[in-house]
Amino acid sequence: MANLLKPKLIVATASIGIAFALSLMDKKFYDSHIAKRWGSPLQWSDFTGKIDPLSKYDASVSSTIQLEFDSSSSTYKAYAVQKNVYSWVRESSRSDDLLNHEQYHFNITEYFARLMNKHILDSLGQSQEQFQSKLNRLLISENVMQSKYDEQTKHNKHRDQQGLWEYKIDSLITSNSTDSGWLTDPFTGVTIFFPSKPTFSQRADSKTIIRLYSLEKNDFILTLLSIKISDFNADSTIAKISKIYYSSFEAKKLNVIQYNKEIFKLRIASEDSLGGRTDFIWRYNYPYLNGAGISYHPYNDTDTIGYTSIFNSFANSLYFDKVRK
Amino acid sequence: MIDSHQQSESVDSLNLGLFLRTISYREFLTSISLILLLTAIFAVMQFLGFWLNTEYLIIVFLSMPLNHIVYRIEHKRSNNFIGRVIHDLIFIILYLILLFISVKIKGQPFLFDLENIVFNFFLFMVLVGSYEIIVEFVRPVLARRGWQIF
Repeated sequence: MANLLKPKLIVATASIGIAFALSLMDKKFYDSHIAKRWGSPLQWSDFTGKIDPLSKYDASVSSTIQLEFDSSSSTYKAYAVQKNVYSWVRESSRSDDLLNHEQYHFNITEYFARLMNKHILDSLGQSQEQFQSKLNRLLISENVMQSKYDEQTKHNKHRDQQGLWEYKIDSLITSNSTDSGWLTDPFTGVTIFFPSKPTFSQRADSKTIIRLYSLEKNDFILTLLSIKISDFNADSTIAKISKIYYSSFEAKKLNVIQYNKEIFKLRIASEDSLGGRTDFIWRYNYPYLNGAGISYHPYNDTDTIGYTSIFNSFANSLYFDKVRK
Repeated sequence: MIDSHQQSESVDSLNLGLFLRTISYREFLTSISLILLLTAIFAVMQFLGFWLNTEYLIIVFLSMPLNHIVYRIEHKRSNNFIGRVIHDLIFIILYLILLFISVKIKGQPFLFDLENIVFNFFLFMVLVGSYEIIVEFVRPVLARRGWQIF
């Protein structure tokens, strides 16, 4: 009986050797490693790693949190960094949407870096080991969130869920920054939460004043619109709102979802001829009529749940009291 | 004579005892060596920047007869149908274990959902069974031409 023990062991050993050597080469230990700190947006030039041919995905971003000691303030500081040699993209799949999806993976890491910095500030005097141990626990949670992000957005395929995650991640980052995200308009007194800084514009003439805050994201726009109406009348206001929809939003179809005449609370969904949709809540708070809502263009009819969730969260943050509840 | 030989072969093809009586570490070593060889080949392809998708699975399936060729050399006889199916399953299980470990270490997802291991296992069983039925038909053709290698 022939025994091929020797050839088999030679094949096995040589294969392990080749795989190990190539894996070392693949790690690009000879290449310049750049750990890009969170701040400026990611570019495809930051993805210099070798493509994983066994991966079913088009791109992968590698990000982590580095803990550094700041000798000037004698404290530790956590930074979210993206590693170029472990991040890769397939040449044929490069697109702005995909880069945006990868950027939000990096943004999740930044959120956890901020949580770490908050912990450092709250527990001054702890040793490096204690901070490292906390960081390890946060990195586990970060990993779970990264997986959930990919799972729910189906790796950027479900555009409405992608939008919802962008809203969530931006909100988490903004809530953990000096700019809390809460915006109070000094003229109207309206307060609302924007996940990141909106742009502002105003139009005023002898008859009316319109104040507009707008946040444009990849797939949706969040808007807070205030129109000065001193002589308020519910019926004529509804007519005015309808006029806005037909002239400014180019609406084809209006759908009143909720209407409470007593407190003048009106929710209207609209659709234009190109399939663009809006969902707005209108409230009157003398002397301003305020509308808060979302405009989006769904890829298909089922891809709207995420946008509705964004609207609900955005509209629920709208209030008029001086003190936020 | 030929008829009785063919009849005894077809009866033996489902005789599990023939395979189990001679199974030893050599069959496992053959599969492990082949898996490591495939891993090295894929590492080279990865290094050269080839993108494998379904081709990957085809390469794995096409490499499986190597197990049977080595078996024939070592045992001086061909493995029977049921023996080949079990040998293929040993190969696939060992491969899935290696992939599972590799995915857990690298933390990167694989071409198919490894988490759904039970579904994948049954899928592989169906594929292996169909594959070996085809081999069972190809083998006599090869034998008649004197090209029998497994």
